[in-house]
Amino acid sequence: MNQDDDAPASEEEQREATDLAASLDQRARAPELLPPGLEAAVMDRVAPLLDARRADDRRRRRRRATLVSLGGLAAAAAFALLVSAPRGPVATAPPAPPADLLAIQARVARGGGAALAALDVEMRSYRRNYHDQLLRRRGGGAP
Amino acid sequence: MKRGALAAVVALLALAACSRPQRAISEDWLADAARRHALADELLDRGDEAGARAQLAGVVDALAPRHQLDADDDRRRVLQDTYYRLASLDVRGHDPSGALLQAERGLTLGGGQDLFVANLLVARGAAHEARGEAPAAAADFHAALLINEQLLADTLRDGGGTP
Repeated sequence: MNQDDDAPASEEEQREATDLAASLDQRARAPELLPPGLEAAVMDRVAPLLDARRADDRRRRRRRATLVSLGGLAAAAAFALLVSAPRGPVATAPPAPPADLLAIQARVARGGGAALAALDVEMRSYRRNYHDQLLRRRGGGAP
Repeated sequence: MKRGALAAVVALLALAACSRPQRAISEDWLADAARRHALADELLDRGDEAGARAQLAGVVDALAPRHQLDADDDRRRVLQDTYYRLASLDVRGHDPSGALLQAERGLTLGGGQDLFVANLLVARGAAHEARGEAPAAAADFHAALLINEQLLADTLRDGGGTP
């Protein structure tokens, strides 16, 4: 190496620099090869480690896929529940039964089935009233 | 595993699709039930009990048993009222066993202590009575009376119960 930095490089220095650059370039392009015997020994030791690592990667991928599947499953279940949840109008309280109707009902209960026809007749107007109320409330219109 | 999860998702979606009809039961069912009840009244006035029975049977047949058990309170009451009418027709038609069956179907739907349940108890009591099952009849009439008394008390407290 020339001691004076400002002085132009000598021919020998230029050749050294060119050789060094070529050597570096060659090493960068082609990794050093191990001698065949040593390479086999190294591979014997490294191969199980590489296999284990690959297996571990596979396990991790499977676990991730399982988690994704379970997440999808949970989402589908939530969706199914949401879709199937009953969502109707609040039930309509039936009109209070009139005292006359209840009196006839009590008469049937006390006197037996003979008065059942009277209860059927008395129920008619109550039923019509209830149906009208139901349909109005649920937006179904009059029957 | 992935295939299993996919199958489970598909099964769940199918389940959801199957359960949709419960909610998708048309509101028309109520309108149709009201129409059929009104028609049954007219037919009974003309003495056509078979025709009335067919109209009423159409109300309950329009809902599968599974949907009947899942029915909301409005539908449950309409169904129970229909079963009561069918049971009553059977009692009057001298078919106490049929009446018992109809009343049982109605009572199976549950419900509280309301007029419709009391009517079913009365009808079942009448069916038991016609079959000569006095203790069962007395039990049903008694249960009906307990509801009836409570309803009457509520009605009188609320001003006479004029609809």
